[in-house]
Amino acid sequence: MNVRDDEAWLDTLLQRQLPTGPTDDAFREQLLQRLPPPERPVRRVFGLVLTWLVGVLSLLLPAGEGTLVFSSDTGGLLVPCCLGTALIWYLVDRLT
Amino acid sequence: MASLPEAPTDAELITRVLMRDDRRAFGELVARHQSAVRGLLRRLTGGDLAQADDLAQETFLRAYRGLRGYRGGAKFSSWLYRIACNVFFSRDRGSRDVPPEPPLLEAGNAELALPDLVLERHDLEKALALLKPRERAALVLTYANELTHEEAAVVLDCPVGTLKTHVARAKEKLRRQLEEVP
Repeated sequence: MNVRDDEAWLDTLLQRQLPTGPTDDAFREQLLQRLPPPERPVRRVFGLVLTWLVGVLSLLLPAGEGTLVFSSDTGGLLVPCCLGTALIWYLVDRLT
Repeated sequence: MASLPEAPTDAELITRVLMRDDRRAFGELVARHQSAVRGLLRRLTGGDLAQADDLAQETFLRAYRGLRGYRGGAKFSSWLYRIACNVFFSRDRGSRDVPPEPPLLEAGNAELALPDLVLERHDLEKALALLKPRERAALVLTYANELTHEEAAVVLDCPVGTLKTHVARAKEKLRRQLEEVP
């Protein structure tokens, strides 16, 4: 077998159509569903700023008799503040 | 007469993915290159469709995650082939204890093609499966995917001389294997 025949022989064998698998569209759809979720940096920053605002506002709420929560009863608001923060983060991630 | 808008180049699609995380653009890149990548992996896996598509999915996922590492020096398809070969080599290393099993002939496929062509293809895949992974990759890249020796050497990250040696050895082994078939 000379070199030219050798090349033709290999070309013919290797370029033969292979059996088909899933369609191109099905393959692509499956792949796109496996991509990691988008990072959405702008919305995350928005969520973070909102969280800070809510936290600060909660601490500055008047607690009666003209005093601020911040100065008198900060510990009592700690739990609702944390829950509120968690809820905001959950909503931001869930709805975007 | 208004001309149709030109299809964006690979570079433009890549920029869209990087700048805006545009998944439609990435889907377009997949649509353009999936046939070649899946074909390459089918030949590397000896015709195992399920494994080849599994590796092809892994290839594109790695490409998506590492797209910032694509410098644009080589063709995008070559960069994908490189990832595909690395995915295949690492899978192959993981299953080295298991001897390569040539795929069984399926009755459904046999009906679609002439019997001698199916047998020939089966013999070829069996013979390819017996080559060393790098020899198989060198042969498939240069013949089936029609890369030049230089391009294939870049894909396999080896000198051109080494690549040519892989191809020559693979051809010789393949010829001997196929000549042994009665």
